Amino acid sequence: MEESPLTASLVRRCIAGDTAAWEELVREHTRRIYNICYRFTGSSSDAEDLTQEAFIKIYRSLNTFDLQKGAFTTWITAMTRNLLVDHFRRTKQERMTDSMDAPPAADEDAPNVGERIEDVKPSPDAVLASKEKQRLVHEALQKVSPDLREAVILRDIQDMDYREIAQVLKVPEGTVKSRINRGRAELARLLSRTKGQVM
Amino acid sequence: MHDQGKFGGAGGHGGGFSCVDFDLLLSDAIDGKLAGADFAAFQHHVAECAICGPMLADTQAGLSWLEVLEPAEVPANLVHNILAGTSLRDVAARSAQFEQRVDWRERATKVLERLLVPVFNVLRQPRFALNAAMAFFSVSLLLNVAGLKLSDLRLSDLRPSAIRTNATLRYYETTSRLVKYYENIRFVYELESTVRELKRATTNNQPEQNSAPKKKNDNTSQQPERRNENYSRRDEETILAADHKNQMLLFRAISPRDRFAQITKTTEGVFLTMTDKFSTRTPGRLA
Repeated sequence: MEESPLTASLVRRCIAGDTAAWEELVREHTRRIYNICYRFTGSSSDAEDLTQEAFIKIYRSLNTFDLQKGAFTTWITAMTRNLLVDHFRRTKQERMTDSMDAPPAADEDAPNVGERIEDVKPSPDAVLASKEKQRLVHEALQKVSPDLREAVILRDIQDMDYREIAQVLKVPEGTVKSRINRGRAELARLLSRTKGQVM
Repeated sequence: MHDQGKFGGAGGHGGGFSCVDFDLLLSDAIDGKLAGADFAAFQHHVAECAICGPMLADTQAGLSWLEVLEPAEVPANLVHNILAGTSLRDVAARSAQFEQRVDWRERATKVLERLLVPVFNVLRQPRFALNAAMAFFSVSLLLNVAGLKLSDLRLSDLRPSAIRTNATLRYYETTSRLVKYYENIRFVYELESTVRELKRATTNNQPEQNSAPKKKNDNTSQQPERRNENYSRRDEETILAADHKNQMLLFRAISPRDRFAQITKTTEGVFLTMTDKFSTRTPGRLA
């Protein structure tokens, strides 16, 4: 993901104290940051709060950013990721990363995710079907272990390259590739437990 | 033969291509960047390895699932909230910097205003204003009585010696004024005139008593001074009527200027004695 000249210019103006540039920068990157937060936490309200928090943190740290050292997008993604890790630790979400094969104790007869996907019948309303499929994938993504999930999100949802992801996660590129592939495979196993395909 | 794979599976065939190599090249293979001999070895390993084959399939399936996901819609107010939040922080930071630059006098003034404004608001109420006015008039009255004029005050008057001198002068002036006042009131005037009349009336008897040699009649008890002390506590007083054993005090009055009047009854009669600070007057017989 290359840094656009416009972004670089906006960052320079921001650092110089241009309020309009900051506003433009926020508008340009809000969607991206929000999506990272949303896919990682699985909650729109949490994502909204974290996005605001991330931008406030970015705003306060803007003076410390050096354009020569790296891309602005990578920098704000790293800051967002750190925020997500903090949030994850705060909320102890790792306890919820149970296998999707095990239904909740209160609802023993409830179908697992694979069965639910299999049960999805072709709907006259393709949009609704698509929404439902997205919801299920989104829920399954929350079950993937956090280390793998963040790598998958950055690569397959945010289209970042391995080098940038390695910078964000502060791990070698080989580790990044391995995490991405394992995350994808784990997601597929979660969703395709019964060999049902909903494509 | 291949070594034991990274994921615990049996090694596959492929001319030295291991499961570790598979893991390293998997991303490139999925991204379509693998070609040539590496790609062939990779494909061969996938076909032979019981672990890596399903791994590739799962990875591709997972990627296809993820492609289903569309970017989430950003809440309508999110950008606005972010901008508002960062602007407020900016304003707060700038105001904090401004506070640091403000002179200490202005800060002190602000603090005093914060403290005093509520007090003044309370004092503006009519009842407090009336009390304040009364206090002002009382102080003004006291200053006038004491003869002090604020407009006449000079810095030199504030020296301790000057204050002491002024206070002494004011004291004597005020005292003399009060004395004049009391002397001029009707009661004192009438009393003095009565005393004068009594004195005049008793002067007729005076030559007889004075004709006696050396006032021998004036001390039968031998203790006239002691009784005088009891009456007036003034050594210079002489009470001619006090030379009888059964003397009885009938009336005594002391004026503000240490004037002393007493009426005593003895076996010889009733006597009036008048004294003041500087002189002793002869007692006169009343009855």
